[in-house]
Amino acid sequence: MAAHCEEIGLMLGPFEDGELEPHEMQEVARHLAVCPACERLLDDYNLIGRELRAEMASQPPLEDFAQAVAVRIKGVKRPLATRIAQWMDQGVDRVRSPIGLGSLAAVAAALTILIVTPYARHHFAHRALTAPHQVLAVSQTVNPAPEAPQLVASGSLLNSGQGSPAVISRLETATPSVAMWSDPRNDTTVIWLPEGKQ
Amino acid sequence: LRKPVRPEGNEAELIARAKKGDREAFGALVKRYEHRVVGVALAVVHNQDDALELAQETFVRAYENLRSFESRSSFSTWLYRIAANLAVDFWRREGRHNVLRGEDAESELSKISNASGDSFRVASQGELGERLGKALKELTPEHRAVILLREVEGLSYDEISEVLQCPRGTVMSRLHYARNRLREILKEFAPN
Repeated sequence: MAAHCEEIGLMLGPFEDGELEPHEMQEVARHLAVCPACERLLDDYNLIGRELRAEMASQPPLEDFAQAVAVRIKGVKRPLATRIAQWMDQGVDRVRSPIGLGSLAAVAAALTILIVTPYARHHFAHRALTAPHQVLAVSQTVNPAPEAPQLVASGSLLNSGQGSPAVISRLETATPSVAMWSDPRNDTTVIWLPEGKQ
Repeated sequence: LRKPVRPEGNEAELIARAKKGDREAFGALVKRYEHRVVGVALAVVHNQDDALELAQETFVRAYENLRSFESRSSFSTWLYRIAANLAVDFWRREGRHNVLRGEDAESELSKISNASGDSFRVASQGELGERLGKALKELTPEHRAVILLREVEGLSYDEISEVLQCPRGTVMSRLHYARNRLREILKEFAPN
């Protein structure tokens, strides 16, 4: 075998398998055209391949193989992580269905009501206490308790004397027996009862 | 030139369903690949009963670990790799053979005698199959696996490299060695 034949011989298998680069395929093809020995070798490779396929195709049929596998995998307990992931996948599939989407929306609405409602109540109640209300029907000066701020004007805000106005939120009558105001700065609500009413 | 065998149809859907625990879908995949997986196991152990047992175990392992299959390789290549690993492990466990490493395989080329010479086709075609069966037994499991994966299963060199987890160069040298060794053995078996 010539030196070139040895070199080509290494490429004959990949040539037969179509695993050479295009320029190598051309090189081998050119050599085969002029070298009967390498051509015989390639024919032998080809024949071996055909016979191997025929040999393996003559293996006995696999009776009940799939059934035997099915029995074995029936008893297989997949790893916990796999089962969790599988369960989550199935959950996602359920959610994607129309019924699943409806259920999810209902749950979200219920949760929103449960969570948001108490907060909303508190929020609006707090706003009601801190919003400035006009004082109605105050026609006379009220004698305040020593600690109480002075009521000065009808329909105006009371000044607690520290820059932040106290707000009279409610007077019951023209001669009030009870006055209530809040001090937002101290987050305090004061209920004032005239003397003799305590 | 033959192209590698490629499954068609709804394989991706079957895999997706099987991943979610659908045993029926997995059963369809078993049906689709049972012969090839047995073929891979048989290529290594060269014993029908052992190959069937290993092929069953391959599918059980595949079912258990289906979630780890990420479609980077084809499903068949993934299955073949499981089968080849199990078969090689089985062979080692049985102590039947010292498994060759990739670097050892590189030196195998030097063992091949002159590849030229007379063709082995001196016997009738009917005898050839029988002689080939005997010749296959003379090969190491690695060489049998490489040549059967190529010639029977139609895998590319890169796919064989992935299945047997060895470099492409090792695949090429093993294939070269296996072809020439088979050719030599067939010549030895030939009647004078």
